[in-house]
Amino acid sequence: MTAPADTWAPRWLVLMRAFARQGASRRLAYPAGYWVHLLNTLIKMFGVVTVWSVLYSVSPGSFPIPLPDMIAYGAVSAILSELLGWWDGPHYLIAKRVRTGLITGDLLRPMSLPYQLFCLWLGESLVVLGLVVLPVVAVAAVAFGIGGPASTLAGAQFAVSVVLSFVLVFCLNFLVGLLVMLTLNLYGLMVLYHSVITMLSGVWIPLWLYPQWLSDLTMVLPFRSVYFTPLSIYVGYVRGGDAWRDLGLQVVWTAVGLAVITAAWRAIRRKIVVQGG
Amino acid sequence: MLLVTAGGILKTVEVSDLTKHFRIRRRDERSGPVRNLFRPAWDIHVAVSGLSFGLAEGEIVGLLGSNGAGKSTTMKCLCGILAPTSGFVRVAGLDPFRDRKRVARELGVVFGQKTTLWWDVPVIDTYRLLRHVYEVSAADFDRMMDTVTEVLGLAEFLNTPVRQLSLGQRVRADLAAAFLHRPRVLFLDEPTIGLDIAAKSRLREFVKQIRDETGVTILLTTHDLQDIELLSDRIVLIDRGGKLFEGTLAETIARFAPYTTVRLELSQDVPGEIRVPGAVVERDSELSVRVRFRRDDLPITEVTGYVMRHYPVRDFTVGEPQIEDIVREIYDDTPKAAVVPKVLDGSR
Repeated sequence: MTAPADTWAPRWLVLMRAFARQGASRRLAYPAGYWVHLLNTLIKMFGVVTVWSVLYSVSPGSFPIPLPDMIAYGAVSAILSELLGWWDGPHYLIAKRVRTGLITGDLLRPMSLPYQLFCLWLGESLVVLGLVVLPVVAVAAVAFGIGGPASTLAGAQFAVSVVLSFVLVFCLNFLVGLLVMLTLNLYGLMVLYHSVITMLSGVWIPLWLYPQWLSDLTMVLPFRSVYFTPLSIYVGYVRGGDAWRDLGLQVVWTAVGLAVITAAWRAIRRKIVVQGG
Repeated sequence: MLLVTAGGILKTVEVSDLTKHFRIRRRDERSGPVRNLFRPAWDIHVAVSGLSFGLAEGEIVGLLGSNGAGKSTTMKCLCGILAPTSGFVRVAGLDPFRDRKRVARELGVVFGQKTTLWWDVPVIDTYRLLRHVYEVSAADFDRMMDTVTEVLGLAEFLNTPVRQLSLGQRVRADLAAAFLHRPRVLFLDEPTIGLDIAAKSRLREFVKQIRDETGVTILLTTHDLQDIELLSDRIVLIDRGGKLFEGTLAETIARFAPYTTVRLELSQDVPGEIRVPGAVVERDSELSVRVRFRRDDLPITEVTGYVMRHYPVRDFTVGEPQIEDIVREIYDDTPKAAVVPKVLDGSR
């Protein structure tokens, strides 16, 4: 049973590599899809930049940061949303595989389902990072003159924050996937999830524009950590001790997320109804 | 590790008093859609109830039953995908649900209707992935790949994406995937479904060969009775979630098809009724007659001797009881199957 694998690497890393490679080649399997994706990201970024420029010129007083920063916020969020996807992802994969019964195949492998999905998603995201995000960043920098992070420290904090966001959004997606598994209702849940993320994470609307009560509400929810934390650090809206506090909060939410998906998955496995003979 | 059951028999796979219920949403017409929204009604569907059987090391057992009899549910419990409602299952002495990962290492599973291969990438990619998942060394992997590609004829489509494979190719590729890590137990759920005759026989040959060479224990469900006849040492018949019978093919035939039919062709019309003592005679036409009798009560030579002496018989054929007949009888459901005692002792 324990055939000595011819590698020095620990099992989790071997599996991560193998599944990430699988995810990457899945993402690369359809070239047409790639070009559409790239174009779509460019259009999205262009749209966001345009909207903020217009809004800013109408009412500059509503914004606590200068226009270039606001444009950077919009452009980076548009690009980041390709990496921290909540529409396509593990939950969509779970839903599809539960519906067709293919989930049985995933459960036959001697490794945990969440980890399989995470590694697959990681592989897909690395492809997106290299082939979509980086080219669009180049376009953003050259064509729109969008600036880098507020400082070197902010850049480093931003990078750490994005990694944490990646894990956190995976946890959220996975939880939605489990709900789909229980209710066998993908579409309704996805629409709800979509509105929650767009409203409460700061991905499209910076949270400083919200009335106090709504802003307070986002403070006690995990969604803020996904987008608003890295973005506000990037543009320098949050800095110093506040940045560290937000990063700390992100760490807490990510840890909670991981604990919750582990427990929830354990609890829900019992209730699985696998469809189809 | 082997499990020693109460009877002291070593079982590699054991199903003991397995019961599995599903809750199914009921569409309640009377209370209306709004009420359904807030207080949905549920029905309990009993997929498997009180099922018990076991497989000794190296055995091939066929699990037979009509659609919805509980075969796949039983398989899923054995794979650790579903948790039993009550009773228990063991694979290599382990509880598959609680010890899913450990059991998964001992298991190879093929669902004929679904694939466990990655859909969008070449077949070989899945194998490479599985090599890491099951920690197969490179040398073992290469050796195994040589064997399976040769016996199953995979070489021609190893680099083709799974979505472009024909059904026969896909099932062969799935079988190879299930066996790559040399599992101790194979579950084959309708492995030959939809395959042409050549593909079927190739698949059966592979299954036989690996069993003979590696002593793997195999549980097989199928609707193809040839699979059962050619592969299984024993069959377990299930119906509506419970066991109907368990035994060898010969025992099953003796139990469920105790009658033999001799078909006679007469050289000339015989006026009046044709009688054979101890047998039922049916006349299909003037020259064609069927004689049906219990094998246990009446030796076949006696029947044929009797008719040859008393009637102008030109030719006769003996209809051997077929497993098909039995299964048809059971599949045909209610009236006839109800005659058969619901729970029978395997008593061996």
